[in-house]
Amino acid sequence: MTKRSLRVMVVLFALLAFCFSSSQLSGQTLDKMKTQIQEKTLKNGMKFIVMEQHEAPVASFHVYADVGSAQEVEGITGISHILEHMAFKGTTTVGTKDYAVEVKVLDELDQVYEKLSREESQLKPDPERVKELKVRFEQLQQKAKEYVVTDEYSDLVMQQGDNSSNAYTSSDATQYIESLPANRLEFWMAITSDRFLNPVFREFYKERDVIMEERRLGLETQPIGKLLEDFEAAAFKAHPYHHEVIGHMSDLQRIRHQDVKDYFKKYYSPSNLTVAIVGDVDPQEVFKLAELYFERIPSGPRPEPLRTREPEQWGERRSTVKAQSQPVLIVGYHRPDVRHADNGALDALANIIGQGRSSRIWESLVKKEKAATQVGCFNGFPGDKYPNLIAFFSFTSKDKTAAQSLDLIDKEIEKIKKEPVSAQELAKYKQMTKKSLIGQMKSNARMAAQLTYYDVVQGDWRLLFDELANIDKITAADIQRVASTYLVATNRTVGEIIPEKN
Amino acid sequence: MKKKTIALLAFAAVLLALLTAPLAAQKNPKDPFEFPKLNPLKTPPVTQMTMKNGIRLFLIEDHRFPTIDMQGLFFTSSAFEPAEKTGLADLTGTVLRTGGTKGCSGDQIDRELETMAASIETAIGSENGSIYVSILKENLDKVLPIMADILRRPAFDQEKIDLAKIEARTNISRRNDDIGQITEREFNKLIYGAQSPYARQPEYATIDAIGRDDIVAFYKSYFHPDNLWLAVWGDFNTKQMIRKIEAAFGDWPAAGLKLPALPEVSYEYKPTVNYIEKTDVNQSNIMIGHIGGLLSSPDYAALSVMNRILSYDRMFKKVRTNEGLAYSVWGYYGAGYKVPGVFSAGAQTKSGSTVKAIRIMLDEMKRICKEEVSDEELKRAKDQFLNSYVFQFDSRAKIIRSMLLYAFDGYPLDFSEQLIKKIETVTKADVLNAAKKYLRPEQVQVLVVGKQADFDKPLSELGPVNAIDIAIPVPVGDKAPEATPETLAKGRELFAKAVAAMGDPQKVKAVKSVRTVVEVTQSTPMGEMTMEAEMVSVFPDKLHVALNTPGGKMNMVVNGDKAVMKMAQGSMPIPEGQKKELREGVYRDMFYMWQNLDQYQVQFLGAKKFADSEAIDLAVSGFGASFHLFLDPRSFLPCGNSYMAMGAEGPATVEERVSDYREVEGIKMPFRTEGFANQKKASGQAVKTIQFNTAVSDDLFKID
Repeated sequence: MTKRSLRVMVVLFALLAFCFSSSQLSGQTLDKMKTQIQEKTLKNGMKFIVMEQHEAPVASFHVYADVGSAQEVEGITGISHILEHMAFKGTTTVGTKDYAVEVKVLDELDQVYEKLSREESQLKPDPERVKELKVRFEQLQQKAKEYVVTDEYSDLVMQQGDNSSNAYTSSDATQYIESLPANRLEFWMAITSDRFLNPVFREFYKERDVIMEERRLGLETQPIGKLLEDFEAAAFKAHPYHHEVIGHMSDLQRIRHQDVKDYFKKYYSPSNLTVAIVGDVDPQEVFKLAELYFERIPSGPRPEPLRTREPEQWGERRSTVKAQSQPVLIVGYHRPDVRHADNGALDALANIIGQGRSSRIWESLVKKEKAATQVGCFNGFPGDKYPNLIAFFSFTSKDKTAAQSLDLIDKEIEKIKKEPVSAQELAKYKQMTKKSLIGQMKSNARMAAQLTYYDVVQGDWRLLFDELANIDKITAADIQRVASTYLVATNRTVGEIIPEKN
Repeated sequence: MKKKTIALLAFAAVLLALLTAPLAAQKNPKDPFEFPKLNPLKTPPVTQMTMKNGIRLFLIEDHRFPTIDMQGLFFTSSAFEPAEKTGLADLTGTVLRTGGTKGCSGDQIDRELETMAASIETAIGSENGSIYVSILKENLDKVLPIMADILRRPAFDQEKIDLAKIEARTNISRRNDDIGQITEREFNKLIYGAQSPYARQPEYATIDAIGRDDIVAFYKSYFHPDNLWLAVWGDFNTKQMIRKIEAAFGDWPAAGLKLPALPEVSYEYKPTVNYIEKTDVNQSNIMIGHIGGLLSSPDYAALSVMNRILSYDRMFKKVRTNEGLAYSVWGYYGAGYKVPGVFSAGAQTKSGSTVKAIRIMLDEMKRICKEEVSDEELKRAKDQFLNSYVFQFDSRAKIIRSMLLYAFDGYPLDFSEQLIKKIETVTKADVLNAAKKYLRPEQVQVLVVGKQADFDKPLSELGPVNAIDIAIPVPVGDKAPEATPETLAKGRELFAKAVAAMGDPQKVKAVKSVRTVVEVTQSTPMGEMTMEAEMVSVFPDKLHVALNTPGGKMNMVVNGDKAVMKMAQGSMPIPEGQKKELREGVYRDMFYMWQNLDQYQVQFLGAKKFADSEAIDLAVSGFGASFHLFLDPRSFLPCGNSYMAMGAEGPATVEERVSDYREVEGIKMPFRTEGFANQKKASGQAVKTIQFNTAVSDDLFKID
């Protein structure tokens, strides 16, 4: 063989080796996993996905509510997150000493708040009346507190062995996670169905204060927090991705108890909830108990899908924040949602151009030009259920500027549009994604999260198991194509922290 | 009705009832549940063996996913590094991985590993040196040799050492940015001792003192096969894996090391109250406690239960139930494998509830030492341990990693099982006894990091307060060239010229006090702030400043070794760092210098650019201060000075530029000063009036 053809054979063998190993995974592990999964939709529309995993006598429970900050309109931004906090405050039985009496105090509290709110919003509020109402409000809050059994929900689950009770809100969803010894299945059914059937949003006004403080500490005093909020607002002029999960401060100050109740009713109807349970359980038993405990939640209409779509940008947009920090740059390009055919190629593009220390922009900005101490590229900002952004960021080095970073990033973007990526880079992307996907399936809790995500956002939990095969289909030409389509100057928004003089 | 019809109807009724009856009634979450028996925890086979060269190997197969992970532990510790080279172990742990090997550069290794989505990470801490490997199984044969190379033939490339040192220095400069980090670190120093190998921190000087030889020597002392415990888990065949590990590590010769023992900890129980000022926060970080113990303590089970009740049922609920008293509160009886841990209770609370929160935590500590806990609390705590036990071993990775740690630290391999059995039998009396034996509520050390100006009560109510200075020691600035008699003489000559330019040198010598009224402009996070201030300085060590702040009048008094801040609420001591800076200002004062010239060394360096124009550069040192004094080459009047100080981003060059000279009582004084830190404008001062030798009452400098 000539040198040349030998080289070709070596490369071919290397590629073949990668192909073989991927299908090995598909063949053995994934198909087997699929057979361990069953699903059932209750009469009221609530869906249960159950996966058997008998490695240890434990189970993870994941509730996915298809509602995030993207469902919020001006005036109630931040409400999805408030509701997540409220979900820990208990029900008509959990968290209260005597609900029959408590509810009367809570109702009166709300009424006084309404009056106070109305008086304060007059052009000329009556100071005496305001003072009187404030005093009454405080009295009622104190009274209501007497009936509260603090943290009873958390106490109950922890006592049963749950060390990882958690919840989080994103732009796309609100999710509730528990892990328990597997024989606590019925206990989970009881406490969770009660949670969504009979919630009581007690200590509402106090928790609203806590969340405002969270916004102050987590966003308003953090340069990066401010940067991201303004950047989002600039990139999305119409779509609700333009506001942060935490919400606007003025909205937080005025959201009413009734608003939360209405929002819960609209978005937590059983047809909008999907549950995954992964662990040492029997699916048939799970479905039986699910029917018993969850079918009593009355069905409701599925909320109307979001109407607003983000239109194409007419030109590049810019946002700047002055803060006591070194310069930080973020650049985002609009891209379609995660279900779009280009999603895989965009994933590969982000990985090769900006993930890891051997990525294009790391080599250029951090290692070669020393223009930045950290750089990266990622998809799905701020969510991926709707059209979103592929974003680049750079933490510039001392005495370097954001403009320099932007220039260098631009150069890498132009390069990747012109020349196809190398076989080695493509292989690296596939390995990294494969490893990461496996990592996401290794634990019960992460598996449950993946199952609900794929079922709700992608449309079918089975698609999770097609991912590896999809990764293998990405070509260098695909990456070039999506780079040329989406990484275009008029399609971008640039956000920057400009250092404030000390 | 006919009997038959009635019977039929009755039968139909019963049938109907049976058909429509629910399977069972739904339980309320607070009802008692009868749980079915929990399936037993699996005990998958673990292979243990010791290789000929001493490597202790632990292997467990897991065929669910095509991955392989490894964790290796070497017996070493940052406690073994010499005090003057604190940071050596950490640097060695970093550069072991980044510095490349004899055959391959660090960057090449990075690229190769990343292409395979493989990761190898190394680190050295206070308890061990570790290596962690995570790969897809198909890459084992490529990665194993790289791992072996890193451990056996590291290159410790100088460039990567330099890079690691830059990172270490950056971490030092940033170590006071985060209030949580400050609190934990300083509390550790209180418990173990600031110079203890378990608490001391790296400084610029110690990082600078570390060379490549030190790193290589540290590595050579501990990284040998007979000092390695290695666990491997994942998708492989055990026999094959052992063969491969033999191939990669078998010929690594044992070193027959004589390893040092970890330094002992001897703790003296004593109550202390300590304060660290951080003014850019509106909350306090509190930690109270003393030394903890070891996991091997026979009372550890009772202690675990006691700690759970104390921190969760008592402190957490009590401190949080009190409206807005805390964002977070916790307690932790720290028990180490070999080194005693720290017992601490802590909270983050609004500044205005600081002392209240501390009193509540102390009360709870006292209470649990006096009264038995309730049956309910005991049950809840034990349930929580017993019911979550199953999660400790819910994966093969967890099983083998805990086995590795127990073997490494000399604990029985079934330590967890033994402990949970003991917890099951803990009684209320046991909890009380453990509390009495191990908690000392009357001898806790208290540390508060925050802004005392906003506290509800002065911290001194809890005891005499020790203000801790966390200013990061500044490395010495540019060293001036060797002084020669010529440069010294010229220096003095020029300095005398400067004084003469100011006015009659006799008059200058006679100035013993200066009173100034100024308008100061300072850049703050809230924007530029302008305030009026009146300063009275009486040489050498008395200073009084009256400041009109937006929040009210504030006085600051320095008198000899003492310094306080006085406000409407009362007075508070000024922390060491700021006190030092205030007192040192006088050593750069022209009047003071002229009056004590024999105590200074003034060296002429030549011409230098200062504030955009040519100036005469004099290097001055005296009374422990060292700075540059710049003179205008035509008038010889001082145009400013520069010196090294601690800025927000680490050591900074501070410049003070003066201008707008006007005559005051026959002496030329600058009426404008601008302050710069690292070339950026930080503050400005416009003088309104200056007076010399005014009558000043001693009362002005009274420190209460």
